Amino acid sequence: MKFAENNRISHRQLYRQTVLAFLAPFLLCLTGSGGLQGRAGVAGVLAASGILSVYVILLLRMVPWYTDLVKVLGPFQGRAAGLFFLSYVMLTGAYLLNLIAELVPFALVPGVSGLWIALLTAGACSFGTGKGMQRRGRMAEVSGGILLGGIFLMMALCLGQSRGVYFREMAAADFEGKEILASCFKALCAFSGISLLPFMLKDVEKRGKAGKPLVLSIFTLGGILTGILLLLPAVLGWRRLKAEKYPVLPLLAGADLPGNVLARFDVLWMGFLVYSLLFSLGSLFHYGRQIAERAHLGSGRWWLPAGVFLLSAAGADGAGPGEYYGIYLSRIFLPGVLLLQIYMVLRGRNKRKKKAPAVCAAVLLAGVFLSGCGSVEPEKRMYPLALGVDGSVGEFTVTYGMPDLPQATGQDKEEEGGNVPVLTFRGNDFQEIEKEYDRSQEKYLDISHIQALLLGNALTENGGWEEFLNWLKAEPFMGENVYLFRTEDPQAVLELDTGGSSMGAYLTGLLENRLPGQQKEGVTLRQVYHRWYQDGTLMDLPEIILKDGGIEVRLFDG
Amino acid sequence: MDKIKISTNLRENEKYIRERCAGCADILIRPMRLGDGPKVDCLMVYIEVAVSNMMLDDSALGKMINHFWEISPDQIQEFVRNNSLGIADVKKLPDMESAFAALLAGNAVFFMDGCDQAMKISSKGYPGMGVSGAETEKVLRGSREGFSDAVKVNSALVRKRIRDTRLKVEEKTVGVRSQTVVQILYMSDLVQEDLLYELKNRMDEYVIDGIMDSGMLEQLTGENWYSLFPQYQTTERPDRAAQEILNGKIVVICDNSPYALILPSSFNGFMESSEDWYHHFAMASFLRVLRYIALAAATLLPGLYLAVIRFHTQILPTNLILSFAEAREGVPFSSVTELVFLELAFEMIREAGVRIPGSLGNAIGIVGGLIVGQAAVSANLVSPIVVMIVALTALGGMVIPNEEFASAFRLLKYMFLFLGGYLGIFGIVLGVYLTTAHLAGLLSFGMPYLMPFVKRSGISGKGEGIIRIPFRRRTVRPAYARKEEKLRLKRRSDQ
Repeated sequence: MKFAENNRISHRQLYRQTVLAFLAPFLLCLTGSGGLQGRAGVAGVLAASGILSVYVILLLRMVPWYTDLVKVLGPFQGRAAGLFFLSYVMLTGAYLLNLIAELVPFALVPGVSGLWIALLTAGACSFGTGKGMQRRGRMAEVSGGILLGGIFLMMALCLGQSRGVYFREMAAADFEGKEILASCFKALCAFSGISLLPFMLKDVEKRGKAGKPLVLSIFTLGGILTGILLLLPAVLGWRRLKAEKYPVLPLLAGADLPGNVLARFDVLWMGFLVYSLLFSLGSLFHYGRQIAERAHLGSGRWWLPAGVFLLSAAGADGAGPGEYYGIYLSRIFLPGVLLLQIYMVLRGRNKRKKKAPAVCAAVLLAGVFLSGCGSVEPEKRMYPLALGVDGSVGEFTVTYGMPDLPQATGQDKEEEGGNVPVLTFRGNDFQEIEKEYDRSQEKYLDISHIQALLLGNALTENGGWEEFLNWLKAEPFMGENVYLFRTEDPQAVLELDTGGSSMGAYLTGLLENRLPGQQKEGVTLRQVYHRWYQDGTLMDLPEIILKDGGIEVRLFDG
Repeated sequence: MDKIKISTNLRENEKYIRERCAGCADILIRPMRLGDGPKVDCLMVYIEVAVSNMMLDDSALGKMINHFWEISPDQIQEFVRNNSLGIADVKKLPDMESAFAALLAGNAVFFMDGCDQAMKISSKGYPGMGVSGAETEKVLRGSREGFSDAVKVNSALVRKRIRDTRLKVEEKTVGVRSQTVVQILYMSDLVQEDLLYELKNRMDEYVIDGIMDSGMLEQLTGENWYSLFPQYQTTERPDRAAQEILNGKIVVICDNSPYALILPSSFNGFMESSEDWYHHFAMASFLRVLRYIALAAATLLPGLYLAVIRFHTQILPTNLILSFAEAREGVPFSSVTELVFLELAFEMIREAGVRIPGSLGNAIGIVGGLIVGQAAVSANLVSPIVVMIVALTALGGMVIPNEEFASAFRLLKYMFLFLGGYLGIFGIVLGVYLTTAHLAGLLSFGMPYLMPFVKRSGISGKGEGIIRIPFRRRTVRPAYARKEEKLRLKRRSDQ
C-alpha cells in the first residue's frame, strides 16, 4: 500500500530542502575575506537572487530532458553530460568535506584528525541516499524549520552585540559598480548547484507550480545572506571582517543568553551550521547517485562517497579542492552548465518525439573511537579565570590566575584567606610559554573560562601586545566578551587576595554587578580586535592600580 | 490438504477422532446414547477445563443434552439439521478439519450416528484472566478497563464502545500449529481499503508454527524489521483502540495477548496518551510538550553532558564547570566509562524490578536508586552529577507513554553517549542527522512515520500535532481515514 502522496515531495519539502542544502556553505564560505562583503555584497546577492529566480523557472521546463541523459543526448553525449554534472558533485562534496575536516578540529573537537572527521562524515552522509527523494524531502521538512528557526534566533541574539559605530564603517566604505558585478557573479557561481534541480523536480508534486517555492527559497537564502552581510560588520567591524576567513564563526563568541543559563552558545551555532553542512553533503551524494543512474554510469552507491573522500583526503596537504574550487565554478562549471542546458534544450526539441551496511557501520564505529582523542576530563583541566601578560617582544611573562576550587564551588567556605593560586611562565614567545606549561603542568590548560585579561603597561607600550593578540586569535575557545585591563604589574594584581572570588570574577563583578544604568563600561576583546583591525592601534584600556594592599580600577572616560 | 468429510457412520468418525487425538489426554471423547425410546449413538468431543464437565441445566450444552433425552432420534436429527432448539452459537460443521478447529478453539463438538455433519456448541472456552485494569497505560482520567488475553473479550470491549455495524471484525487464524485467532477491527466506511488489503497480504505472507503474542505478529508483518522504532502502535486500552478505529486506523487483536496493535503508526502517535483527549486542551498540550522535552532528555542528556564536560566547557557558567571538576576529583574512571557503568547499573535495576514480583520490585528500585547510587558516590566510583544525569535520563524515558517507543530511545541513548563522549557536539549533530535520516525513510504501512510533521496538508482541525487543539476545533479526521469521510465533528444546526 502506498500513501496517495508518498511518491512525490511537497512544495514545502522542496523549499526547505533547497534552503537547508545551501545555507551553511553560503554563510561559511561566501562571507569571508575575498567573498561577498559590504554594500557591494548585498547588492550582488540581491541581483543574483533576481537572476536566479528567472533561471529556476526555466529549469522547471527542462525537467523532461534530465530524466534520462542517454536517451535525450545519445550514449556518448549523455554519459559525458553525466560526468560533467558528477564532476560538480564530487568537487563540491570534496570541498565541503574539507571544510568540515578543517572547522571541526579547529572549533569543536581539538586534537582530532581531520581525515577521520572526513571519513566519518562521508560515511554518515552516504547513509540512506539511495532511498528516494521522499526521504530527503521528509528530512528537510522535519529539520528545516528547526534549523531556520535556530539561525534566525542566533541572528537575533547577535543584534545585541552590534554597534552603530562599526556599522557606519561599512556604510562609509567606498565601492564601485564592478564590485557589485563581481559580487553578483560570485553569488551566481555559489548558487550554480541549483542547476541540478531538474534531477529533483520530477519527484515534486504539482511540478508546474513548483516555481513559487523555488523562488521563495532563493529569496530566503538571499535574505539570510543579506542579513548576515549587514550583521557581520556591525558586530565585528569592517576591517576585521575583511581579514577573517570564516567571520561567522566568532559571530556569537561574545553573545549572552538571557537568564545566564549558558555562559556561551557559539557551540550551538556551530552545531546548526554543521547540520546544514551534513545535509548539503548528503544531498550531493543523493543527487550524485541520481545523475549516475540517469547517465547510465552505475548506481554510485560506493564509488561516489569513496571518490569524494579520496579527493578530499588528497587535498589534506593544502592542495585540496579549496584551492581550485572557485576557479572551477566560475570558469568551468557555470559556463559549462549553461552551454549544456542550451544544447539539451535544442537537442531535446529535435528529439521530442540497491554485506555492505555492516561494513559501513563498522567503519563508522571505528572512526568514532579512533578519532576521539581530543577530549580531556573536567577534573584534568586547569581553568584560569584571569590572564596577565607582560614583557616585550622576545621576553614575555604570562601569569594565570587560577580559581581556588573549594572556594569557587562553595564546598569549603571556612578556609578563606589562603594563598591565591597563580602560575607564572616566561618565554620568548607565546608558543614557547605554551610548551613550557605543557612540560611542567599535569593538567590541560582550558582558557575558555578566562574572564579578564591584564596587560602590563610595558607590553602595551612596546608593541608586544600585537603578538599577544595574534596568539589569542588562534585560540578559538577564547570568548570575545572577555574584559581587558592594563596595569603596572599583572602578576602582583593576580596574586592579590580578593576575599574569596578569583581576580577574573572580581574584575567582572566590578563592572557588571551594578543596577542597570550604573554598570561601568569595560573594554572587551572584541572591541580591542576591532580597533586593531581598524587602525593597527591598541585602544585605551581601563587601568588597575595597586593601592594599600588592594586595587582600584580607573575606567577610561570616553 | 484435502478436507475429510464427516461420515454418517459414527464408529468411523470415532475411530478417526481417537487416532488423531491419541496421546491427547486433555481431549475427552464421550460416547453416549440419547433419545426417548429407541436410542441413537452420539459422540461428544471436547477439551477438559475448556468445556464444563458438569452439563448443567443453565449451560447451552446441558440444555441440549437434556433435551435430547426427551425427544426421538428423528427429532434429534431434525434438531441437528435446523438447530430448532434455538441455542445461541450452535454451528454445523461439514468436515473433520472444521470440527477439529472448533474443538481446539475450546468448543464442544457433537457427532451423531447417521448424520454427516457435526455440531459446534460453544461453551465457556479456555480459561483466561478476564477483564482487568490497564497495567502499562495508567491514566488519571478515563476508563480503567484493559484488554484481557481472550480475543473475543477484547473485541467485545471495543464493540462496547463503538455500537455500530460499520465496525467490522474480521477473523483469521495464524500459525499452522498454534491456530491463533487474530481479529482485524476497522470501520468499513473510514478505513482505506488498500491499507486493509496490505495488512491481510502481509499476514498471509509467512507460514509460521505459532503466534504466541501480538509482538510476534508485529515483527513478522513490520515493514522495516531492522529498525529500532516500532511500526505498530500498541495499546492495552480498549478506549484508545476504539478512538484510533474512529480515526480510520485498523486495530489487530491477537488471541492470548492483552496488547492490540494499531496501524498505521506515527512518531507523534507514540507520544500521545489516551487521556490527552479527556483533559483540558491547555493541560494536554503542556503535557505533550513536556513529553517531547523528556524524550530529548532521555536520548541526548548523557551524550550532551559528556560533550560539554569533555570538549565544550565554555558553554557552562564557570562555577558550574568548576563544581563538575571538583565532583569528579578522585573518580578513577573516565567520564564515558563512569556514565556507561551507571547507565548499565540502572538498566539492571530496572530489569530486576520488572522480573521480581509486586512490591519486592518496588523495593529493588529504591535499593538500587538510593543505596547503590549513594554507595557508588561515597566510594568515589562515580560523581554525584552523573547520578543526577542518569536519574534525569531515566525519568525522561519513563515519561514517554509507549514502552516500545521508549525502548528505541533507550538504545539510541548509548549511540549518542559514545558520539558525544568521543566527538563532542559534532558527534551529537552527526547522530541527530543519522536518526533524522532513518526516521525520514521509515514508513508504517506506506504512511510516513514522521506524520504529521511531514506532508502536512494545510487542513486545520485534525489535531495531530504536538499541541492539542480544543475539542470543538477537532473537526477533521487525520489523513489515515478516507478522504470522503474526513468530517468528524459538526454542529447539529449545520446539518
